[in-house]
Amino acid sequence: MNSNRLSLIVASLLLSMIYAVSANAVELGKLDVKTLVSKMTPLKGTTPAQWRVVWTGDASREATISWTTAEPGKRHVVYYGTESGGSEGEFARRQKCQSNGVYSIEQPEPPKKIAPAYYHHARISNLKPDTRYFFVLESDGERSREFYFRTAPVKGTDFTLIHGGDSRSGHADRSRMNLRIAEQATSDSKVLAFAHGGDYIVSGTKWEQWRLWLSQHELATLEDGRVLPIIPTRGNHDGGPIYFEVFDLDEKKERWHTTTLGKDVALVTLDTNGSAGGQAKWLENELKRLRPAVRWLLVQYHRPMYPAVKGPPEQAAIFCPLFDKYNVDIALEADGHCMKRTVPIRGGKKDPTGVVYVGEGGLGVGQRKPDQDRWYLKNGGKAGSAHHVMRLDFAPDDLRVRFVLMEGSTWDDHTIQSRNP
Amino acid sequence: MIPSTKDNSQVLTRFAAVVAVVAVLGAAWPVLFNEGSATGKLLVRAHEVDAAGDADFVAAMEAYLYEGTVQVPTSNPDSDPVSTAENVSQLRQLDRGAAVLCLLLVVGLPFGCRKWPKLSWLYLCPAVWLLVNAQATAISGGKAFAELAVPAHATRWALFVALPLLILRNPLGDRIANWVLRIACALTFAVHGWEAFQLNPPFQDLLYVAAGRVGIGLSESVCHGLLRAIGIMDLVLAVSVLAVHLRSLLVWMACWGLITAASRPIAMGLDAWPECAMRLPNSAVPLLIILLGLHAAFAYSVSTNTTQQKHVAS
Repeated sequence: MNSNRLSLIVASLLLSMIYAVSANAVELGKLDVKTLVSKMTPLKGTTPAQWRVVWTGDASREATISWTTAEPGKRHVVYYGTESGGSEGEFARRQKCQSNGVYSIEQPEPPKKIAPAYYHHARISNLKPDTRYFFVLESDGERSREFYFRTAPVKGTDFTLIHGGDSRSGHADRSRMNLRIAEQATSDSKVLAFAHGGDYIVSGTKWEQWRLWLSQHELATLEDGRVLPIIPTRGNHDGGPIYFEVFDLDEKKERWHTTTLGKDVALVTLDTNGSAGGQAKWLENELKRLRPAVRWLLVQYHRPMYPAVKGPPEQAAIFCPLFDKYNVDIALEADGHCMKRTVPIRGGKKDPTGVVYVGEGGLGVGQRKPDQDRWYLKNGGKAGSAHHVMRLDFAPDDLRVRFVLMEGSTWDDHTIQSRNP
Repeated sequence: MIPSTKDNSQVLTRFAAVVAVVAVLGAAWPVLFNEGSATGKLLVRAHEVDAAGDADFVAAMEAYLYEGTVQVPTSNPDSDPVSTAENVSQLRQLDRGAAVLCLLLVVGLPFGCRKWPKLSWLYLCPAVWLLVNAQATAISGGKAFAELAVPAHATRWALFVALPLLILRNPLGDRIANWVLRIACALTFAVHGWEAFQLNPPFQDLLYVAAGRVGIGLSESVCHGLLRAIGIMDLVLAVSVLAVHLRSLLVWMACWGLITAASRPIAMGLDAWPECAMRLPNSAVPLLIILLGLHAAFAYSVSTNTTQQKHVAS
């Protein structure tokens, strides 16, 4: 009897170990193109493809669900609700796309020709916080499979945000990183959304690059249909109109925006391609409004203020004093193609009450060697090179920031204390 | 009193040589200590994409997703990261090597050219280096007006094209150098003027920060108005440097070039000194035109007088 019980215990332990390993194991080593494309949707006819859920406002109650078709179609609708209905089922609500159009395509020199593609954006609102919303996309009667996403809670900090930047070049590595993002969300249901720090592609006016990014982004969808909403930032390689067409943003009014993840977490997104002076007034008003109200105040933008590789940008003299003044908790950066976490900085100096700057983009682009001699990367700071995403695990009193590498290991694990406990 | 040809010439070449050293130092610094030159970055990126076997991978994906065909990639995207890193490291070493070579040339050539003036043709090496980097910037993109980098940087690379002509002393060479510098000046001022008129964001930020340093808070409308006015001014200066030889205009161009070069470390801190150094030719080239303009005109009239005297004597 005792030996049977022992065998049972050992077997259970072994099984749980195998489960734990397989939950983390993602086949990234030798990417099989055939297997990968089987997870992706061909752009054909009015089959909905390249779906994404976009957050740029109140993530507890609103979202934009977007997709692409190869033909313009006539009727584009998203069916959604809090109950799963399956691909052909009924849903409580429906929303006709408010915005449909053709992506701006620069045709290459003949004889090469790029087929047109069409975007569709359905803006849904009056959602319940912290709730799963199932949705199905339909274009001219053709339906997608069922997906779902979770809205942000109305308050509280019990969730995780993933941040990464610079998918750019390196499609195989980009696909690997998308699978890693999906794995992170699979193994931890607290993962709520994905913030992209910009530089999705190399040349922002080239639709042929964007369409690959969009198709590869489907790899970040989980097997059970869960889609991580994306909070977009514009990078320096994302010039041109397509970025705005992909994420349903107004080119004049929405180059910078604030996403609130409930009452306790706010992410202010800036545009380092534009003049900092032009954004300064808006930024100050936002930070002034948000700081007293939220527990965690984050900023994200593309070009780093305290870079690990490049030189400092002109915007640092305008943005950083505002970050200091309003006690931003953490700044999420990209562009440098490396990993870095600075010491806390205030007034251009190391200060334990200052802002920590992390980044700098590892979603696929080749990595660069950081300059470890920079004062903000020494004596408490850290820098390295590897493909990665950052996990931000929110809690009431602290924020845990981890750099997760492509193969799944952790490069850095750092905790920031809350300023508003 | 007729100015001494030799004194003027020495001032000219020494001044140009010093500016050349500072400019190359500014351009080489980020290559040696930051992310590398534009050419280096472009080559590294191309190599990484190639080494990753991405082309096949992408082609197979595109065939399936957008063309409705099946294309089997000839290789799986499974690059050897160690080998790629080694090759990238070698490319970066080459990049640094090119920068160091240019630096050694500009430091050593002023001494070498005293004895062997024909060595001055080696100044074309940094000219080519700067020109290629400008073209690499244009190809890489990633910032506003990147496609205009070659004419925008004209004063930087054209200085080195003109230097051999300035050192090798003859009226034809002086005249060619004169026009090389004028055209370069015109291109640089025209492109920057256009960028300013189009409200290039970094230019806006330089104005905001500069004004902020003296306690002035610029509104967006004032900033935009100022920048458009600066743009028009630059465009007028670009045309004037080709059309007339007006010393006051050239002096103003030199001053303005210096102010804009200095604005970088003023806005971004002393760590941004390379940004100032590499832009010094924007200020130096108009000054060289002033010196050269006088000299070229003087050299022409000396040779004409000499010819007439010989004719009268005969």
